Amino acid sequence: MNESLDESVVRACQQDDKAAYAVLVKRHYRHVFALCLGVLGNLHDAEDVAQEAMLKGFLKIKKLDKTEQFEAWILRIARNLCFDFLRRQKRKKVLSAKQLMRPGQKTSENHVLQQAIRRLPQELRVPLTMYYFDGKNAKTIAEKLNISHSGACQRIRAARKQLHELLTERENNE
Amino acid sequence: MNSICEKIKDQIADLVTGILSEAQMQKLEQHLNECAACRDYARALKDEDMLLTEFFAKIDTNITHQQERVLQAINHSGVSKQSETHLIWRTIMKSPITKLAAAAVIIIAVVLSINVWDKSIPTAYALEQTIEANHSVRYIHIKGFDPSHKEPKEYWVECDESGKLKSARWHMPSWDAPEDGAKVVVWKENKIQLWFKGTTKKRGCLVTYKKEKGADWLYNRAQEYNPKLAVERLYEQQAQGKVKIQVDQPADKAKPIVVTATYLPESPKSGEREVLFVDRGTRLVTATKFYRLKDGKYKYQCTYEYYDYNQPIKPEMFDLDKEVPADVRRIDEDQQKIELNKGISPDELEKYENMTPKEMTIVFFQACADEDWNELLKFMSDSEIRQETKDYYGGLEIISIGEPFNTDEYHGWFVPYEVRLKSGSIKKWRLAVSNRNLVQRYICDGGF
Repeated sequence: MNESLDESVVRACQQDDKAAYAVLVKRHYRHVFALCLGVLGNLHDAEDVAQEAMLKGFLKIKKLDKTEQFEAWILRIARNLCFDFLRRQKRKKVLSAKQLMRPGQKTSENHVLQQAIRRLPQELRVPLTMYYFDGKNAKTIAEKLNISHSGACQRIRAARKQLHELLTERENNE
Repeated sequence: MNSICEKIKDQIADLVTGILSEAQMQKLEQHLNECAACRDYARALKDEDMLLTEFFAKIDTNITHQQERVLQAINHSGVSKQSETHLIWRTIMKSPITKLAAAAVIIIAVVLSINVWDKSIPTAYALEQTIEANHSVRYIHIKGFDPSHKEPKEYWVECDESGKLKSARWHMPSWDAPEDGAKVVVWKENKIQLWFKGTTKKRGCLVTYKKEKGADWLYNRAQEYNPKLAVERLYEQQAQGKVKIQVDQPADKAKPIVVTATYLPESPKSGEREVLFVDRGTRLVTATKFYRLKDGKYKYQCTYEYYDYNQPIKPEMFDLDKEVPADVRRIDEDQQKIELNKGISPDELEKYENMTPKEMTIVFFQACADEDWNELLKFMSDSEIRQETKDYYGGLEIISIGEPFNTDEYHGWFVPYEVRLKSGSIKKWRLAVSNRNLVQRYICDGGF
């Protein structure tokens, strides 16, 4: 975590220093986006919500007392916005591939993979997304998700196994 | 595959993730050598690992663009505008004009107060000389010294014959605003040029502010401190008892007259003290020291020294176009305005300017529905519509556009919408729209 690095930058932001917030965006947007992508399972929605989270962070930064905990704080904002988004969307938690695929639609390798990832339960999809998108480091994922290191490893493992089943199930059905 | 293999699957997944111990890896390898089914499983997971890595790396290529969009949204937010204004205001407040004018106010205050406090000084003479001296100043070079930094801030000011501000130049060292780096500001002919020299992390750029936005505002501010107007304000301040002036004229005639101005509680500048050093011969201020009251004592803040009174400043000093290297990025806000209004004919402009947030949102999504990307671009600050956006939103069907609402957190409007995408899925969300931009009409404020 960049706690000590963030502290002085956050303080500068609290003095209306816009340029300082750009530093935080560069440093944390990736993590925020990875979390949103993991929770929402959709690139465009993740981008919308991640952007909204960073903007909300900018507007609310003066209220952040523990300046060294910016990352945990902004991830919490992002997570809440994701849930808010899902509630508004009134979607099912997991969209089946059938719902998303239209008859005759061309299925690329990436598309199949994306659909399979979406079908993972959220508690597995989030660590898997963060793992692959955010440096392949289970320890930092554990910190960001506030879970144990072994817990993070277990979830990544379960996600990989389940993803394999989803991908092979599809192959067998085709 | 037997029950042992089921347990091995966990280890294979862990192997790919790279969290197995050396001993576990050896044991696993031994099993893989013996079990074809597990070898296939391991190979499949490894292939999937590569696929996942490539898949997410592809998404990652768009991250910089997304970050830029976030920063753009922040730039359009109320707080950032305030911050930008603050930057200009901070620059101005540190300007020589302000200091010069403040000095003029003090000088006049001193001269007038001499009548009260020091009958030994030929007051009428001092008053007339100082006021006259200030009015005759056409050029001045000022250096601002901060005790924590060696490099001073520097200012050059040129007035016309009537004493009206003509051009000004500021040099701000990087310590003044480390996030910006060193910068030069030039004000001339109703426009401001701001040259950010860049930092190790940020590229430099030359920003030209449009007339009505920055330059006129700056000019009005500078006029506010015009010495002629300052005299009137001084009379008012005296009448209101907002400042206490003390004059010390040392017996040693080589030493300057020292004028101490202490702001009283009735003044907005209460708690501040300024000490001016006035040249006996010219009656002009040579330096000003600034103090602030802390723990019952006036603590020194900084010094401004005034040089080269009426020494003509070369015209090149007030022209950054030639001075700034050709490879420095140039940002012209007038040009940006044209960019934002791209594709809109003068006849049509009024129509777009008069759109309400809801009307804008309807036209916006209709453009997506019609795949009319030129129309959509009129509501975006981007230079082009990304292909993935076209793929995602193109051909959508509008289900409903709700009533706009706003929140304390965002200066613009949120317009709820529900659309059916070409993929068949329904998207129900809100479009953030704002008219706080250069063209002052509603456009999409970031992602949608």
